[in-house]
Amino acid sequence: MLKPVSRRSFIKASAATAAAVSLTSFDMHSWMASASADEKAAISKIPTTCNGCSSQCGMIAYTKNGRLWKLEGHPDHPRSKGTLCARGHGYATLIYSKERLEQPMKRMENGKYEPISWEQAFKEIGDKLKEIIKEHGPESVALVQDPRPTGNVYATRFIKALGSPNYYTHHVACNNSRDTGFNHTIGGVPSADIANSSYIMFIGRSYGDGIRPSSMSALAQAKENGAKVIIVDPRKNNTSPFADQWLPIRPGTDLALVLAMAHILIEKDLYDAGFIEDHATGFEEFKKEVKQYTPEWAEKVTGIDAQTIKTIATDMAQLKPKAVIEQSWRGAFGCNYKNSTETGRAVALFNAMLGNIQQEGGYIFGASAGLGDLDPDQFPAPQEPDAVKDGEEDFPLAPRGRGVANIVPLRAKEGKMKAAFYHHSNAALGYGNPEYYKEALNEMDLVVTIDVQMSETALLSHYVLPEPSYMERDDAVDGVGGGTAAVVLRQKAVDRVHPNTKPADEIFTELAKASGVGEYFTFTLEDYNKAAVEPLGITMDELREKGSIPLEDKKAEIGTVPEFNTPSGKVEFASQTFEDAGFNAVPTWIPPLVEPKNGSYRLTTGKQAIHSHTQTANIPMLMQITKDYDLERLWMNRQEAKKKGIQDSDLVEVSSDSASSTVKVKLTDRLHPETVYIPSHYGITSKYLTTAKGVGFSYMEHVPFHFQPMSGCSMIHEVIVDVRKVDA
Amino acid sequence: MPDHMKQRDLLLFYAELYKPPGDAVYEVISHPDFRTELEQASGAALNDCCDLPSLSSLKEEFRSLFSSSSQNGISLIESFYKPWTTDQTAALPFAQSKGMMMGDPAWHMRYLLEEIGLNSSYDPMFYPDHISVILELAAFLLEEQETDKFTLLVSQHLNWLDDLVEAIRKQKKDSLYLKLTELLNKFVNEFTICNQSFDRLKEDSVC
Ligand code: SF4
Repeated sequence: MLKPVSRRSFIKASAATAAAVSLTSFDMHSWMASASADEKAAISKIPTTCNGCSSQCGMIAYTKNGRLWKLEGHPDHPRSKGTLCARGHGYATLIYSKERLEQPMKRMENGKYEPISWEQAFKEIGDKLKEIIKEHGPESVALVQDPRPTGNVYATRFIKALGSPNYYTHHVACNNSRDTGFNHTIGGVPSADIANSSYIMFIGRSYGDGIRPSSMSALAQAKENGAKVIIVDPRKNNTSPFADQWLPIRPGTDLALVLAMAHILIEKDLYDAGFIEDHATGFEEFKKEVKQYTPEWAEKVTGIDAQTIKTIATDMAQLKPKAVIEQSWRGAFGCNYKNSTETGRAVALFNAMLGNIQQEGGYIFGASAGLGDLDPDQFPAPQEPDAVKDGEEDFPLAPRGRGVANIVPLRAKEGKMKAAFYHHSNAALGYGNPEYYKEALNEMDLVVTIDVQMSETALLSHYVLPEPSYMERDDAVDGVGGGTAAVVLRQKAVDRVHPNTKPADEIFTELAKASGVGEYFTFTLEDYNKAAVEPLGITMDELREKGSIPLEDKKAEIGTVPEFNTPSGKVEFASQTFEDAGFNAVPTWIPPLVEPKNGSYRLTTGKQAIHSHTQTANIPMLMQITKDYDLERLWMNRQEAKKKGIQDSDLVEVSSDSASSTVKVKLTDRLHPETVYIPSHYGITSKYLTTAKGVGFSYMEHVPFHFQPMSGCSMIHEVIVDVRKVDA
Repeated sequence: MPDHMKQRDLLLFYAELYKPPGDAVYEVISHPDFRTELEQASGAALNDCCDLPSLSSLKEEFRSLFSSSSQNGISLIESFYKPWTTDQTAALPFAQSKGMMMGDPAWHMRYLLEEIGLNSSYDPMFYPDHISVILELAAFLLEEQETDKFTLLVSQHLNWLDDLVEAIRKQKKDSLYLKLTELLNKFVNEFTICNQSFDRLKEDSVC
């Protein structure tokens, strides 16, 4: 009676017998001891890449018996140069985490998620998609991702195959404002040659917090060479041990500082006139504009004294071209303020005035790898969609390829966007106000999330499709630009832990078939990879063996100023494109959108070295560091706290027009009095992420859903909050 | 002398119990003789329990307790309850941490299944150290009359049931799964105490 109809988890081979294993091997302890020590249990060395953050450093995964055993930085990868950061080591825990997505899931009518088969998931999603496209057209569908190599190939092709132009990336909450400024000014975003620079200014960017191993070693090298380092940041960040001077600037006024520095170069005739003459347009208009931006004016705006501004500008000019304002990433002007795009333009132009472009110690446009692509005769590519990407007309200056991802929830609320795919993206917590996202995604007919964990975005989706983690799958070949370009491969290093997950290439291929556009997905990942390396004269076997191969014939040319990728081919101090879009042709002072008054503060945010946005928050060992050191606390200036009777580690309420949060406070002298600062990694609300849930709060809850006028970015620092002690 | 075939059936019943419930397992637990037979086969008494839920309630209870699609899903995977590896040469920051998948137990179980010739047909439930797989292997060993190996397997791969019982108790005190897991734990405990194992093994290989 006890034995029910068995659905045994294994099938017996006809010769199956327990006699095949000795009693000693049945003893786990003795088996482990001998298996661990077994010389034949070869340790495999698999070169691959980290996915702990967007740097995607090269790494060597050592495995023993199919499991991870040790990690090292890949010596030949341009970003790791032999080293991984702490979160890169810690993030590998994800592979074996219990809180991974294990199987496709569907949200049922009662709001609960139920596991379903892949066949059912593909069929239902495909059918729904076809229905939506038939009724509302392909432009009612969008795809959003934080791009990784396979997504760059498959996700972009998938949305295009559907006939939709609506492809978007995470940059709207990262560096789109900066890039909008740089792109229209010097035609792209170069990298500062930190190691060889003699004078480096960082604006908001902190190598000690948003770590990339190669950047840290370049800065260490620069210091060894005697470089002067200035940090401009309302917070004395963790790059400060390298810094000669910290300028605690009023948040949101970096633009004024840079305009005043430009003013000094012009007033004292310290700029590189030869470079301007040969490689720039619109300089006279710019000169006229910056005449008003005196250091004395800037002192009132920024809080940095005029003499300091003059000294720094003069010192940088004297050391040009080996002086540089580092290009930053999200930093202070990636997506933060109403004026961030103008700050991007001003920073790019100040560097141009130093004549440091393509000069040692200055700004270097790196060489690109020049990967190949699939042969369209063999594998027909989908046509470019007829429609214009949604958001492009509203934000014509924003980087075209990446688009403005927050258009998707806006249009969803307007009833125009009906379906969205989110791949490797927690947009609902990270890109814009979470409440707004929740309302908007609930309006849609179809939301699909493809990810490794049950994120807040996944919890707003009709279907959740699980990917294996980054070390359990092969990815598309990737090119890394730089001084010497490299070709890189992320490849499967360990056995798949959850057998019912599928990598993105398979997911998009099956989704395409189910949606009636399978004819564009007749290639395999290996077909693509072979095509990608073909022009490089490298075989996939070589790349698999080495993982990262520097391309010695693809080097940045130092000393030769390139033609700039702008309409004029020159550095554009005045931009017709900006004027055509309804903005000033030359960078102009724009005050921040909001100002703290009467004891309120600007809420600012930034990274900690042990986390990557919210992506790593559920990694137990990284979160343990947070807990051990109370890293989720709100930073507050000590004197300001005193005025409000707040003491260190008190519980405080942080309230804005959008939300109210409680958190412990950290009092410090390392912060400008007009701001309070919250690390950007906390405030997870997904109940499925039990390590992270309930720790700290998300700054994004306080950010109103709004768009930076030039780039469409989220303006994450345009938030005013009140802070009060919570009574016991 | 214990009845090995009854114990085999007991294990196969439990192997089914820890999979999403269907008609077959429900038929067993709703049978009037279920409790008596269960107690007989396990040699232990079932703690008093709740009323028998309907099949749909049982399905919901299973989902809310164990499914990865429910928040706080309780793991039915052995590795989760033990340090990830005892291999001291593993140079990973999480090597000795608990709460992870594919730890040493999974690796050992996979080895055993492969060597014995028990191959995985594709099944999303198929994690080598999922409780159902361990129970099925244990049942197979009884069928094969490999009692020493059975004792080793049960005492080493099911010695985490105290933690499982606790995890269920924390979430639902009046759960049928709690009472049944408590009984399984009592049964298993008989084998984790060396001098009570029914086919005594050489002391140094178990204790
Ligand atoms: S910087 Fe750290 S987390 Fe980011 S890719 Fe490199 S090693 Fe990984």
